[in-house]
Amino acid sequence: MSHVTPANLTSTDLGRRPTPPPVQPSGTRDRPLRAVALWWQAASASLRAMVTERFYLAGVGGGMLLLAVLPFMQVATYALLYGRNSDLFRYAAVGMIASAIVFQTAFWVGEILDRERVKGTLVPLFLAPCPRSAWLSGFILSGLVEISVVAGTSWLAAWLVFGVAFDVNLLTLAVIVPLFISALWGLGIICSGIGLLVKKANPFANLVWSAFSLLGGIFVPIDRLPRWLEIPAHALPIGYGIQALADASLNHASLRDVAPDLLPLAAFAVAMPLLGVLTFRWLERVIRVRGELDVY
Amino acid sequence: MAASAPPLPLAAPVVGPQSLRGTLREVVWWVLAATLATWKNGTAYLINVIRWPVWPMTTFLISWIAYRANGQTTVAGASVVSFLFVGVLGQMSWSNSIWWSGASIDNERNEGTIAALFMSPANRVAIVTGHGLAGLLILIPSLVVLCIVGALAGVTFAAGPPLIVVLTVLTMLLTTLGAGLGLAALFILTRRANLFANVIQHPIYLLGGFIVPRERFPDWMYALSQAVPTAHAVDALRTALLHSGTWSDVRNPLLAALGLSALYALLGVAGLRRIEHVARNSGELDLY
Repeated sequence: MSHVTPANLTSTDLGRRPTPPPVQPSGTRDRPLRAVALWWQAASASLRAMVTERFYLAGVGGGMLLLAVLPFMQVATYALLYGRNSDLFRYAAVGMIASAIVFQTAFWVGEILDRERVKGTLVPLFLAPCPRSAWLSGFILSGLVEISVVAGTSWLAAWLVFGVAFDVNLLTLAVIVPLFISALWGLGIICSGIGLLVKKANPFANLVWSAFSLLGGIFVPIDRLPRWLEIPAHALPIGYGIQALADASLNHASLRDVAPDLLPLAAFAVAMPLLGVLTFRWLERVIRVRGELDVY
Repeated sequence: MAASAPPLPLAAPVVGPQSLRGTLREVVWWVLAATLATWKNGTAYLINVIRWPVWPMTTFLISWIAYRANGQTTVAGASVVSFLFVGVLGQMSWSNSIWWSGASIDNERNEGTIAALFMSPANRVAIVTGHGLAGLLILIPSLVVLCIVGALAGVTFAAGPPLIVVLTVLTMLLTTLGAGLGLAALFILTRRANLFANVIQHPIYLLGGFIVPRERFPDWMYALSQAVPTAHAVDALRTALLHSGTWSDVRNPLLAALGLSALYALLGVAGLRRIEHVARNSGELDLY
């Protein structure tokens, strides 16, 4: 088989579309199964690679220290501000546990692609012979490790150090958490696309995190915000999710009890991923047309 | 006829004992050059120009809303908004120490310029100071935005003698640069500056008494907070701006802030020298 190199490329070759590599036909019956298996293979490989990279860069001790110190200090700040026995502190404790997911949305999902660009691996990833959603999902899933550590530290600090009494309705929680994650995943994908477009995902993530902290009802329930902030706060899924999580974790609220927050959250959980994928595809096309995929 | 090129300055610059004035001129030049370069770098992207002022404003608003929701209108003898206004200034100062001065050498490493920096005759302390000064310049829009939000929220001052206020503000600036020098050496020693900066950022936000007064801390936490120079600088500024503080009121926190900053700065200078010495001896300039 002859290879076309710049040396033997002729002018007639320049106008020709490259011939796609031959693909071995496989049986039509096992094709969807093979596709799923390949997708999972790529996703789990990228998950392993990213977890390894994160721990290699931070060091296990350093990484754990970072993930533990930040949430502990945040909980301590609000215990001192509100007083350990106030209802507001109990709410904020749940808000800070849930904020692990919000934080990852802004700083992890939002920055993934730009980090790859800085490392110089974005274009190879886009050219890799596997679905883009596979490696992207693997990278996003690796954030769950950090979410678990941060949320766990906040929960332990609130419970053991600051004496917050949790009365959890597991069933309600089991419904709320996936909806919350789904809604935020969609939001994160939008942030990721914008991060690629503005070429500075970290400053953009900081900007987004400021807005999420203020409007997300993490430290104060959104119905206690001033009126001019309450209106935009209702346009985000975060406040509904955190209020529902607080009711389910602190007051053993049933699904019926949390319905006023659950219904908007469910709508966001369906709409945001769709909006996220559509927005991302549009932004990606804009960036490709401009030829700026690996321009930094 | 082709124009003849001007003669090249073949003679090497004279290296030898310099006058004090010449040395000072060089140091000032390095500081200014580092300030200008860092300022250009920090404002090159519009998103950076926008995001810096947003963060202190958000911190101020969230904390104010939290105090309001909890039914508190006064903290440590001052109105909540006035207390928070000074606290957020302290937080900005501490962030400057971490992310501009502290992370400066590590930023040079990330940009691949650290070996060139170590090879240059420029004084490292001047470079770190230049980064810190650029950070202060970049924070000016944040200060303006904070003043506007503070004015809208009803911040009021009961300021003491103007000289005392000026002195406390200058102390805050010196604290920012002094702590930054110490952090620069510490961060580069850890070889994971970003991680370490993130680890110590939040404890100091609490220990500095920026959002919650230090009087509310348990004893062990209060003792730890005494080692944070910015905490003393914030105490002095609050006393001067919000409680009509006189020299006798602000003397102790001012001296504590200046003393601790000087100590951190000295440790930083010694640390930077040591790092460079080790890096040169082991031939690992670009590893640091």
